[in-house]
Amino acid sequence: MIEITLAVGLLAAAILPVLTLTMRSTQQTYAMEQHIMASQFAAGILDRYLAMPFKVCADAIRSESYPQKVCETETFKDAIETGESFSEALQHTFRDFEYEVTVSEPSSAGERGEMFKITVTVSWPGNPGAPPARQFSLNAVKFNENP
Amino acid sequence: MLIYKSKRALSLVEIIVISAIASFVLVSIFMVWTRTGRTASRGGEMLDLQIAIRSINDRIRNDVRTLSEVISASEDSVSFLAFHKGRKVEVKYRYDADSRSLLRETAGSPGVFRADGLVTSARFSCKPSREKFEYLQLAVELTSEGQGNAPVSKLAQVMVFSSRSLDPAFVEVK
Repeated sequence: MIEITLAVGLLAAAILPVLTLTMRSTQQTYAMEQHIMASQFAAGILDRYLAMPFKVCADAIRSESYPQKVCETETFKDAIETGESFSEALQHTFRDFEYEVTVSEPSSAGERGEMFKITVTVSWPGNPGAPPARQFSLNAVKFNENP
Repeated sequence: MLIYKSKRALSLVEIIVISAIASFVLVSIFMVWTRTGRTASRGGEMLDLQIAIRSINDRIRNDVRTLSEVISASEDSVSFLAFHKGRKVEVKYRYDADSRSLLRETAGSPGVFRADGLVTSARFSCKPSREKFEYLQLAVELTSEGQGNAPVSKLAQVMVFSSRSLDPAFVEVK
């Protein structure tokens, strides 16, 4: 009887790493999905600001208050109305996503009216419901078209 | 000379207990096996969707970056002029619900994305309007093909594409 109990115990111990590995693999795939989605969202936001004229761009960023929920942006609100299934899939990924856009002026006074750096930071929690722990940032320099 | 030692056989209760433990172990192994297989295939499906959504995003972003004029736009298609190798070319994106594909056509040559058969929903919209185009918005949902009775994986994204080749809007200077 003791031998059988030992055998079962050993087998269970051998199965445990396989189970852990499987769970870890799923978590990694999900984490990668979130990272890709965050990078695409950030690229969209950055593209929009870079396409604006210099002055309009700076004013547009400064007029917003950050951080903002990704699901509450105009583009997402509009898309969520498309359909229930779509909205569900979208909220599954972006529910806890937040983003922030910051402007950094150059340190030298001579360059101040000529360019600034835009940073888009998207952050999200590692586990649902937890505070944001992971983030993705994209930077770009916006030059003044009419210095 | 052979010495026979009396050895007691297993009792019925012991056999039943052993059978129960063995079946429990076998069921556990089977469950782990099934779960591992399902997770691996689901992981593969998710990766396929991620690659597809990435290729859609990169392709359209590249084209819209040089967009100079929107020719036509509807919920399931958009057509515009973009600069390709120094000349203006008409680029058309169309969602085909029957084949669940997103098609890209340039100068009459159709091209299917890698997402062929995965796109279950796609909606284009020019913002704020086609006439006063500022950016293109694409809401897309991809669904994996799924195997057997396993639940399918879904991935939805709202992408925003802006052009750097539009003429700047003239603002009245006071």
